[in-house]
Order: sequence, then C-alpha cells, then structure tokens
Amino acid sequence: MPQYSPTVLTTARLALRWLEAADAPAQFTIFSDPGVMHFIAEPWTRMAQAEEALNSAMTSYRDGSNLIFAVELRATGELIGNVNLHRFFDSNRRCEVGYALASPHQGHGYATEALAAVIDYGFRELDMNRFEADINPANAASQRVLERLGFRKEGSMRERWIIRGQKADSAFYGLLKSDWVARVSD
Amino acid sequence: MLVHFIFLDEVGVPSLNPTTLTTSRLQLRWVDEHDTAAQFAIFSDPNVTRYWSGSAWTEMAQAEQSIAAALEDYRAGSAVRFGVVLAQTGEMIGNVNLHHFSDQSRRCELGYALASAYWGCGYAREALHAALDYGFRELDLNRVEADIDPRNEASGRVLERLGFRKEGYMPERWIVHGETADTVYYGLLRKYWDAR
Repeated sequence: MPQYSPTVLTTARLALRWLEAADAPAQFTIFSDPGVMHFIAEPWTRMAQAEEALNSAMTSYRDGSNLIFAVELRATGELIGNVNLHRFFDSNRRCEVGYALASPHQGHGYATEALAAVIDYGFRELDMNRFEADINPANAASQRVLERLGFRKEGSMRERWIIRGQKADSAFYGLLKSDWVARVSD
Repeated sequence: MLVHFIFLDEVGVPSLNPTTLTTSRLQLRWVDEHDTAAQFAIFSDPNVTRYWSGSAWTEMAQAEQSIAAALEDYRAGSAVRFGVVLAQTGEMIGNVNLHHFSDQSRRCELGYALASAYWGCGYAREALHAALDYGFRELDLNRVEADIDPRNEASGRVLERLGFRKEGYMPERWIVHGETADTVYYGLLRKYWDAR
C-alpha cells in the first residue's frame, strides 16, 4: 500500500480535501438521502453510521486502502459530496473511482469537475495507469459523467451486485492514462 | 461499488472447512506444507506462468510463501485454493482458486493453473467443473468471474465450455515486468449453471 499525505485539490468552483471527524453531520446529510443512495445501499438512519464511516475513513487513509476526498463548494464551504479512490492494485497501477453528490447539487457539473481533479491527481501524483468504475447501468447520470471524462465502456456484467436482496447488473468503465493525456493536450 | 460504494467495501468472509472434491479422474483438496515441492514444480514452469500475473518461480522459498498465504486464506476465509491431484497416482498437477469473495453479492473470482505436461486432456475443465459446483452449491454463490489474458485462447475455450459468457474487454488492466496486458472478462451465473 502506498503512503498518502493529506492533500487539497482546487478547481474553479470546488475544493477537495481529506475528511475529518467534524464532517459527520455533513456526511450524514448526504448519505441519509434516499436520492443519493438509490444505486448504492440503504440510506443511513443514525448519526452513529456517519461516525463509524469517518472512523473507517481515517483507518483507510493510514493503510492506503481508500482515499476519500470531501468535495466543498469554495463559495460557501459547504460539503456537497465525496470522491474516492479505492481498490488500489499497486503493481498494475490501477484503482477504482467512486463518488456521491448531495441531491440539491446534482446537475451542475460538480461531479465531473471534482472527478477530473482527482483523476488528474491520480495520474500525476499517484502514477496510476488506469482508473475503473463500476456503475449500475440504470444510473444514466453517472454514465454521462464518466463518458464526459473520457471513460470508455468496457463491459456489461450480469447480476454482479446484490443490494437489499435485489440483483443488479454492472456497466464497467475504464480510463487509461494515454487517453487522458491525449485529451488534456487537445 | 457502483461508483459509489464510498465507505463499506463489502469484502466477504465465508467460513471455510477443509474440503475434498472427487471427480472421475481427479481429487481437489486443500494444500498444505507437504505440497511445497509439487507447487514449485508447477509454477517454476514458464509455460504455466506465461499469462500469470507474475513470473515463473525460481526459488523454493516462493513456493513456501505461497503455501503459507493459502493457509492464511483458509483461516481468514478470504480464498480457497484447491490442489488438483490425479486420483490414480496422487500426483499434484495444478490448482483451482476461488478468491475475492464478496459476501453480500455472493460472488467470487476463479483462477487456475495446470502443469504443462497435463494440458489438452480435459483436466482443467474437469477440475473447474467440480470447483464451480462446490461454489454454487456449498458456498451459495450467485456469480463467478474470471479475468484472463486474451492471448490465452485455451483458457477462454475452457471457460466457454463451462458456460461462462464473455462480458468485457479491459485494455492495460495488468502490468507484468513493465509490459501491459489486456483482460477478457468472463462471468458465470448460477442460473446458467443450473440450466446446464
């Protein structure tokens, strides 16, 4: 596992930083929203779940297993979502990317803006060669975000997930460094 | 998962018990320290490791480490390695692995290797058939996945004959000795298996 140090990434409208314990209420607001959790899991119902999640986030910063960035609006400081890099496979220089955005802030291009910053960081600073994303094929908004970033659809897997007893298929996306560099230099 | 599984990586931990599976020509059983030399013989052959994620073993210590890892995986419930043994002679000729369990989604990955002297006799298919049946029936899996090198056409044929369906192609998913390698991704659902 690589060692990571606290990092701040800044875009036109957003600041991305590591989570801290004080973020529990803001994280609870996001992950208790059924609109956010629709394709993910049960929405949170107790603040203790946010506290547990933050504890686990702190552990994964230390062991390098999951690098979670809190996404803040620069204008107000409001925490509106997360972007994370996880399932690192060091020898193959790849990992998965994940994200969630509070419902009231969806549809303004924030997810694309935040992911672009993290992906750029991953290719440049973490020396990644490839990012992967595994989304529900019914999640059209996520699909558009990934495609806007240059991800290519590489697979369709049947019944890859069972969530709340329901089987869900996967749309699998990949983004190579060579594609990213070609795109950025266009 | 789901581009979104932000906090809870659902890594599964089934509880595993020593198991022996028997087919007409083979026995599949858990490996132990006594298999070190047999494992070395298999994985020191560059023909076997050609499409593997590492290179051929050159030292017996690598076999010892690999056995130790398998024992730890049995204990932790994180992977099952079956040594594949010829029923007639007791010779160990390969491995079948079930790993990357995801409990909630009832799935895992499948890996295998066979000593090159035994290729082309249907042993891989026979061993995989037994391991898959165990996975679906005993471990209650819903889905098994395999990620192979597209140049490994023999493996693709074995998977397809077992009912796996090709679900994806991922460029540069592996880097071995500085060389990138692509992936062909296969999936087998329990309902395909039951319908066979």
